[in-house]
Amino acid sequence: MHPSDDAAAIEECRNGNRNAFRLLVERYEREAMGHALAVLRHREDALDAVQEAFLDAFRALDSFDTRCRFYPWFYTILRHRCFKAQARRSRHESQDLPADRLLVAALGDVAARDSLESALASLSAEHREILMLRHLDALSYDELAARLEIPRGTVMSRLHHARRQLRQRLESVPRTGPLGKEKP
Amino acid sequence: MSGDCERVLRSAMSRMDGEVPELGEAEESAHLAACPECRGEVAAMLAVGTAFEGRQREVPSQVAAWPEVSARLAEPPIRARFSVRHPVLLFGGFAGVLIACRLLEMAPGFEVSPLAKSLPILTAAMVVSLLGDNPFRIRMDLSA
Repeated sequence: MHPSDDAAAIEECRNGNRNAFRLLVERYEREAMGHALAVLRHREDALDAVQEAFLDAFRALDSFDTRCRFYPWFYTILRHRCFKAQARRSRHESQDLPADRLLVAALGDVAARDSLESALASLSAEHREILMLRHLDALSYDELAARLEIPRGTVMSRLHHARRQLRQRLESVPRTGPLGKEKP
Repeated sequence: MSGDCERVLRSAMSRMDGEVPELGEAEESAHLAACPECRGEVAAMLAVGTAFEGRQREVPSQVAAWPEVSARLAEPPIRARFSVRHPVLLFGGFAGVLIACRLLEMAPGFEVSPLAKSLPILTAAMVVSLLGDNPFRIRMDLSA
């Protein structure tokens, strides 16, 4: 990524050039969708959350420190949007919507992918989120602490509980089958 | 599980995740050799790591968030009916109403009408409505 380009785009936005924000949206929207999908598991909800998060980020650009990287800062905004959307969905709507894929399957690897996806889908959103950030994005404990806005010790305990639960689910889910329903 | 077990598991987990472990490898191995429970935990952690090996997130090839974001940015700002800039003041007001109601009830010879009795509940409902969320709701999903 190009942090200096990001900083220049943010400066332009602050100077009133709204179109400069396009660069940031187009650069990070796919990454953001991947992260939103990990929490929400539904593409439409994830897209809504991503769009709302970009709007929130634009409105909060004045508080962004341009010496820092844009995406970690944006991620905290995005996850607030995702968990808000998830809470709204669990209050008002059924959770029985068909879930979207979380992981790519390699050739001949579909059953293993489905099994891991089912196990992940049965975890709480917070456990799914931390596992995916750690294992797919390879974030360090300090990076996780910053992204999730929790202390390092909590990162370790959450990760430990998430792994333990995933392990139990992996042992109990069938090798193939439909994506699991979200655990309330 | 003893304090030693917790330390060893923390250390093994840090090592597995590429962080600085708090114990030396020899100390960890000695404990694991003697503790089947910790061995099981470490094996489970490694199995999860293996399950994720070589995996990638499924990300849509095209997202196209900009048209919607751009359109929303171009909209004139909607003026909120009520703007709650300081929730503390709102809660302060709520507390004031509760205290006033209680004082009225305690006043000698003062007959409290049913409407006045329902005032605290009405005020609480107003606070919740102005905040746009229920601040008393317990989030059950924050277990970890």
